[in-house]
Amino acid sequence: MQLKEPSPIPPNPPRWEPSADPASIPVPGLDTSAPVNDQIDQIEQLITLKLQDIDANFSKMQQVLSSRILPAFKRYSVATQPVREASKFWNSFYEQAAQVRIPTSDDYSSMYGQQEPEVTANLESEASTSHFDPNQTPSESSFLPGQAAVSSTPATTSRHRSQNPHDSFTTQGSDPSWTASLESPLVRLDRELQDFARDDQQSLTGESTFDDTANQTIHASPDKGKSREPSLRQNVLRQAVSPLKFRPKPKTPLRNPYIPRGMAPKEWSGVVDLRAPQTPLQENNDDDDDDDDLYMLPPGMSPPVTMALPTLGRTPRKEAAARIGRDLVGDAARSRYPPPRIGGGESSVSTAPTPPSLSRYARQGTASASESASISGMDSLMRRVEASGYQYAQEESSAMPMPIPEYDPRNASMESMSSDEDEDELVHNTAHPSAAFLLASRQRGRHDDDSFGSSSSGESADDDDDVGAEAVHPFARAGEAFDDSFDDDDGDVGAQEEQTLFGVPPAQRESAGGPGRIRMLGDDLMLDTGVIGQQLDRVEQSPTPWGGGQRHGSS
Amino acid sequence: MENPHAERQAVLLERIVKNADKCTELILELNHCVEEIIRANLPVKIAADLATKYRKNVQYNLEATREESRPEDAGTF
Repeated sequence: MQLKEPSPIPPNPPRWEPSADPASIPVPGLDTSAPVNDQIDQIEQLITLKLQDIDANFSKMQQVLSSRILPAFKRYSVATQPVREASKFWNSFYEQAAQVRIPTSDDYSSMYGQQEPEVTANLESEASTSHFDPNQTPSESSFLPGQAAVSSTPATTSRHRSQNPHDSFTTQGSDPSWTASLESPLVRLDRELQDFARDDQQSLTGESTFDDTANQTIHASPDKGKSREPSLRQNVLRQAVSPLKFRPKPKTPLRNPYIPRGMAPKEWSGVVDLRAPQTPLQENNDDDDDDDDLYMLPPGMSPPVTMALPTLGRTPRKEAAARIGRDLVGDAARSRYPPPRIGGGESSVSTAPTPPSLSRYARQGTASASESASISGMDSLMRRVEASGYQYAQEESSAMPMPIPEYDPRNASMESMSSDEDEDELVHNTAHPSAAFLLASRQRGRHDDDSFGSSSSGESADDDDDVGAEAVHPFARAGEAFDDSFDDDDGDVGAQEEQTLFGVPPAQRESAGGPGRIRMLGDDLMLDTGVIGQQLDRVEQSPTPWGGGQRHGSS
Repeated sequence: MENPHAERQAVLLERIVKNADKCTELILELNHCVEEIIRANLPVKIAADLATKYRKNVQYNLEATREESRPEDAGTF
């Protein structure tokens, strides 16, 4: 929408001052030399013209108002709706973090403003009280509010701090009655923190100077922080309210494998000595024989960095499309094999609230909770395939009998090939028989009708390497709920029933495609090109409310 | 005598009044719109204020702990 500069408004002509003597009033445009009656006529005509101008101005005003300004406001309010959704999430997030209730109206703001410094002092650290209450007398009482801090509005601090600089702790004993109703769900954490603060104060030598107590509390807080943090984090994770879908927890192992065996995690400096005789991977030999042997890195190789891949091509949209793809894959995989639980938390839905930017993608495909389940499903599938001597593979992949005999010779090559692969270790692994299938099939011929590719899962942005945009998920079978492979297989653009150049978006594909459609691996890469974005109405799917879904193509 | 003028002017005045009424209504509607927008954006403002406060606190705490432990490696938000 273009905004043109408004034309400068001509200044008003000077107003006439009323005067008792009609002769002294200057009338511009009047021919003063004419006879009086003519002058009267002229004046009347001038009046008529002026009225016409006034009428024209009014009507112009009304047109501009009704045609441009009001619709612009309405469009603005509609367009900022995603911002409001996001703000809801962040408000709940900050509320949970600080255990502070934020009122939606300003009714309680005046009362909250008094209590606010207590809350923030308790929750951030004692040293930060000075941040909010520079006028407060630094004493132990400042760290021990006594009465549990009542919900307050951090947002109104700036508004009311100047008004109530000294009220923060004077109202402790005289909480209004309504605070009782607000206290119960909120002050538990505050009391915990106060207890810790009190313990800190008692453990250290009692000094009343603010700096010393601040330093001491800072000293103590790192130690106490760990016991304090879980309560905060637990509360956040437990009580986090998000209208949006959840995101799976990061799949970190329970114990850091890189810490030497005898060392406590606290003392580890973070430096892994690769020359050490016992690298974590060698140690893991004892634990998991079957799977981790194949997962093991070649000796001397540094552990792959999860985030080392260039993220140039990765956008939230692509990642979300990848996620959708993985969901689809996982659905099919899960339909055969129920997902086992890995580590107790892998396939469970994370309780952490999802930032709003990714919620749209979680909404579209299957539930994102199925993503981790899908991966675990594939993992189990992999193990079973591997363990059973590839019998399962033969049963399942009725569409791909060929790669199976070639599994062994390919497996060795797969190990070297996939040693560089970084992310999503579960899926990309050397032991992944699907990878072997893919590689085998790829080496057999790319012209197969089933068109298998080499990479395993729907990781879009990572598979820029050898796969290209070829073929199909390793577990794709005819008869499963996979989409058809796209143009690259057939070589022509108007493949199957696709409406667009590279295929329908995941949401439509999921709904339109039934069983038997094989999905192309790199399609989410292609989906995210501007061509798709142009042809499909994906504005509302963009994580960025303003520019992500526009027609400018590359995301 | 001045009837033609008066008549024309009366018509014009009529139109002026009608337009002014419409403008007034539109402006009132605009006011309502703006009020609604402000009301709707209030949570956004609250979130922004919270973020600001959080950042200030984090900055302060980091600096405090940084001085206490070692003067390296500032943590930024």
